[in-house]
This record gives sequence, structure tokens and C-alpha cells, in this order.
Amino acid sequence: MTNEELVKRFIDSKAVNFDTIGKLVTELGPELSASKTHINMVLIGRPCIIACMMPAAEAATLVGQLHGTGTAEALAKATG
Amino acid sequence: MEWERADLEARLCRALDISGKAVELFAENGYVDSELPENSFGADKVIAETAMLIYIASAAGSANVTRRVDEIAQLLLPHARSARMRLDMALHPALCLDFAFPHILLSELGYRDCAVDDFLKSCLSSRARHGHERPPFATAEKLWVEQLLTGEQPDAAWRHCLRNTVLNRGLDILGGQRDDAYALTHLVMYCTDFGFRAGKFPRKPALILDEAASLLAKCLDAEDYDLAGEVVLAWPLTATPWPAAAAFGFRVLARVEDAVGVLPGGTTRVDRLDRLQGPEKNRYAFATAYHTAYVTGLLCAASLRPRRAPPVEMIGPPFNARLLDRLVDRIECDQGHWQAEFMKLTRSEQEALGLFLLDIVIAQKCRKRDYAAVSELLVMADKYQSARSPLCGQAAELLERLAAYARTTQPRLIASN
Repeated sequence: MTNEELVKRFIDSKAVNFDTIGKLVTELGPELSASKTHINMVLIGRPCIIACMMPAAEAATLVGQLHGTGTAEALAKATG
Repeated sequence: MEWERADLEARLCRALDISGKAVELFAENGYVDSELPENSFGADKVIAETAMLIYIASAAGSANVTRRVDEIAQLLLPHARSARMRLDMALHPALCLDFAFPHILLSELGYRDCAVDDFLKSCLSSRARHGHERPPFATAEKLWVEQLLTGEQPDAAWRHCLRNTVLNRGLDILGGQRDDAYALTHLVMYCTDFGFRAGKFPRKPALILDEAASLLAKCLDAEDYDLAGEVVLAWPLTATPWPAAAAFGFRVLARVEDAVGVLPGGTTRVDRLDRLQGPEKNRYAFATAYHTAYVTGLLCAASLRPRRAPPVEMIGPPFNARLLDRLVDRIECDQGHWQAEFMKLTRSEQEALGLFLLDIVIAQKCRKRDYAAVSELLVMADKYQSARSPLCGQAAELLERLAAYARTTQPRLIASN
């Protein structure tokens, strides 16, 4: 089934109030986050040569904050 | 018009300079973060990743790069073949290829050591050699390293292994874990031997790259530039012409790097950086930032090969102007450095990114759990025959699953539209 067909199938089914579902999922959010963390902790232990599994995110706060606060300067200084 | 070669080279040289310092700082004892242990890593990580960076950089075709590659190789050699590394191989024969990986890459670059080769062969002849369980993508990694060691071409075992990976089965773009996405990006590296060979994939490359484009949309929304950089690598590694989405991704990464001074990962904490002083500050800055700098280096090194540079302009098939306007109206402005770049584009460039913008906006609405908006976007995209991406398909399935969930738990939620 193509992606377009999947979308059509969903549209044809039209039966649910997604506003309410969104609120419901948001209410369950903290529990979902906790289990996600657990999964991550297990998977990080997987042996793999190229280990890019350091925690992600919050780059949002880094751009605009990092500039002028040290990382780039520390790297530049150290690399000459 | 292509991205300026001198700029790609400067970014790569910067990454190589950072790698030289990272080797000096961490190749002996790794890094221990007492406040956040998950940031800690062993010496083998930085040695392996640096070997990989100079391996891909070796084909950049630039004197500045070649000189740095040689300097860093000289720095790496004693660590890649250290007594500790060889002892690890002797003690853990099932992991000996993992430990020998930097040695093998350095050998590929011409820095050979027959004594270590012989020692490695003796470890590989052990009965316990296969006594370690690996997920499929890690198995593919091991097979690729074996191919480098033996010079043999990918065989039936390789093809069988790839059939069990996300390259064949497809990635869970919206609900998958971060390492699932890394499995995809790393598998492209192994399949193409970092761009040194034409990759043979278990599915049509176009299907895999469509998933990569949808994943890139999610990464740019999440501001996950470490992963975004690895995703964008898929196009130059496979020597596939850059679509507008990938070219735009490259531009966003370059602009973010320019703004910050280094492409930011997610681990550097500004408050902690402020607290630290002197060598500790440098160590912390390097430990948390070097990996994303390497990703920039990998991306620019791959892009420096002939006919693989990203285009400066976004060019793509025509997109319905009315749908584009409706998508722009629905952009969530709370995060995403891509937005400033998108607004600078010409109208025709924005239209070339229409399908990609649809993916980004769907990813945004999913992040906010605004499923009513996702539903509306899918209806809109279907109306304009634009619901073609893997992310559209997976979003439709997500809504179907949530509807089924609602039926099982909250029947009152079911309402005819």
C-alpha cells in the first residue's frame, strides 16, 4: 500500500474526535516519557563501534546561548 | 550552482583540527562526567570515530585536508595499536574487530602494521570469535569491517543481514527511538563504505532516501543537528542528486554552525560551561561538542568528492501554491532554526520544499499531540495529491491506531464527522 493510499484509507474511516484523543494522550504523557527513558537506557548499552547515542535535544537552548558563552571559544582556543 | 568548495573545505579542516585536540584529550583515558555519567565515554569511542573521520576525509582531494589527515593519523597510531587495545582483543575475541577497527581503517589509509595484522588474525581464529550477540545494524557494521580487513566483496551473509535492518523493513519515523534513526544513518555509511563504493541496498534507494527526507524533517523540527547531519550524509554517500529537502537541511546546518561557532549537539549545558574554568572547561566543551563537529566533518568530506556538493538553490518539482500558503500559516513558531532560513528563500525555492514543509508541519503537530491538526493536514494534502511522503503514510497509520485505542478505552470519543 502506498503512502497516498494509507492517507486515503484513514480519511475514509473518519470516525474519531482527535481533539479529545490529543488531550487524552497528553494527560498520559508523563508515563509515556518514563517508559521511553527506560527503553533508551537499555538500548544505549548495545555494543556498537560508532556510538552516537549521547542524549539529544535542548539544542534549542544552545543556539543563541552558546554563541559567545564559551564552547566555540574553548574549541577555538584549544585548536589554535 | 554548487556550494562553494572552499567553504566545505574550511568546515572540514575545522572538524579535523577539533579531532586532533579530541585525540590529545581523550584517546588515553576517555572522558568521565561526574555530574552526568551518561556523557562519559571510553577512549575507544573517540579513537574509532576519529579514524572514521580521517578515513572519509582522505578522499576530499585537498592539500590542506591531506596534511591534516596525516597529522591526525600519526596521533592516532599509538592509540589504535596500543598494548591496551591488543590486550582487549586478546581478552575479548568476539569483540576484537570492534577494538581493531581504528587499526583497520589506518591500514586502509596506508599506515600498515603487519605484526598487528598477524595478531588480529590469531584472535579471529578463536572459537569464541562469534560469541557475541548483536542487533542487525551492529552485525552489518561488523561485516563491513571484515570486508575492509579481508578486501572481500559483500556476500550472501551481508545481504541476508541487511534484510533484517531498517533499510529493508522501513524506519518508524514518528514513534521510533533515536538509535533506530542512527541505525539507518549508519547502515548507509556501511553499505557505501563511506562513499567509497556504490551501495547495494535491500530496497530501492529512492524509498530509503524518501524515509531519510521525512526523518530529516523531524530532526530539523526537534533541532537535533547531530542526527540531522548524519541523515543529510545519505545523499552524498550514495552519490544521489541532492533533492531540495537535503539541500535545505545542509544550509540550515551550515547557518546554525556559523551562528554558534560549532554545530551544537544536545549535551553541552551552558550553565555548566559558565561554571567551569581552565582545562576542565576545555575538556567539558570538547567532550560534549566534538561528536557533532565530527558529523559536520563527515558531511563536508563526503560533499567534497566530485559531483557530490550540495546545490545552493532549492530546486524541485512544482507544488501547489495554495497548499504552500496554507502550510506556512500552520507552522508552529515555538522552535526550529530552519524557519528563519525558509523565510529567506525565494517563492520558487519554497515551492520546491513544499512536500518537505508538509512533513515538518506534520512532525510539529505530532510533537504537540495536536492530532486534530494532523488529521486536517492529511485531508488537505490528499486534496492536492501531495500526501506522498513516508511521514504522511505513517501519520495516517498513527491516527488510525489512536482511533482504535480510543475505541477500546473511551468509546464515547467515537463520533461521526
